[in-house]
Amino acid sequence: MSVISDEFILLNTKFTSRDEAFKGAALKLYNAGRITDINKFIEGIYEREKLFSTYMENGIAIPHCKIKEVKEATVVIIRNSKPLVWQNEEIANIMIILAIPAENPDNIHLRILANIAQALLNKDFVDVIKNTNNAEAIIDKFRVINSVSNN
Amino acid sequence: MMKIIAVTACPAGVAHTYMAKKALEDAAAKLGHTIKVEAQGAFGIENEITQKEVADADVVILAVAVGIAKTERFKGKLTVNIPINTAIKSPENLIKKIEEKFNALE
Repeated sequence: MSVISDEFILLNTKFTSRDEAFKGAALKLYNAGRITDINKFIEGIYEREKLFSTYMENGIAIPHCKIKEVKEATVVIIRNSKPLVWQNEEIANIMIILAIPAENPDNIHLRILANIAQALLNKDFVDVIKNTNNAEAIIDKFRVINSVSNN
Repeated sequence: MMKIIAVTACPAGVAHTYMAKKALEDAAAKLGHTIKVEAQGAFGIENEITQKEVADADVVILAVAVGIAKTERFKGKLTVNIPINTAIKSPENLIKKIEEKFNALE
């Protein structure tokens, strides 16, 4: 199973709140067997958000949680049509949601998640996420960055 | 030029730990400093800072959001504690500020 795949890249979504977006991501993960409990996943995201906001900048947030109900390390990329209120004054229209398994984590897949997070510091990668209407373009760009940074 | 050592760590040990590591490395390189960043994340301690590197370092940056291991290594060193988000969002400003402090000491 892939950590990053077009199945989990949702472009031009019409969510009206970040809560709705989290639910959308959780449902997608649940239906694909990546998580076993939708509510626990959403709670986990809010718990992590309480420690400190995962809002980055440029309208991008990287909500995540590491819980036993995650069965496979997976990233869900959501680009919403409208910016959504994050917390404080922040607004985000791009969410890079990381589902991180707490039990028996497989290092190779966790490493890919870590590399996706790092790739968000790469302007070219962010530009593709912001602008493309093709999920494959995001995956291709990540592959390029990932292979360069591993050399 | 400063010799910087840094440790990054965050609650899940997967996202911010590695973003902060890369952001600090890139910013230090751009500003002409040497840096070694140890990550204490989901994969354990990576790129571990050696005793010699501690001895040689001018400044220690701790960009950590959780308790970390082996802090006793840095006893007596000029140490800057910062929120991990600062390392990710404005690493160059951070290093410039440290540089000012550092230069004022000499």
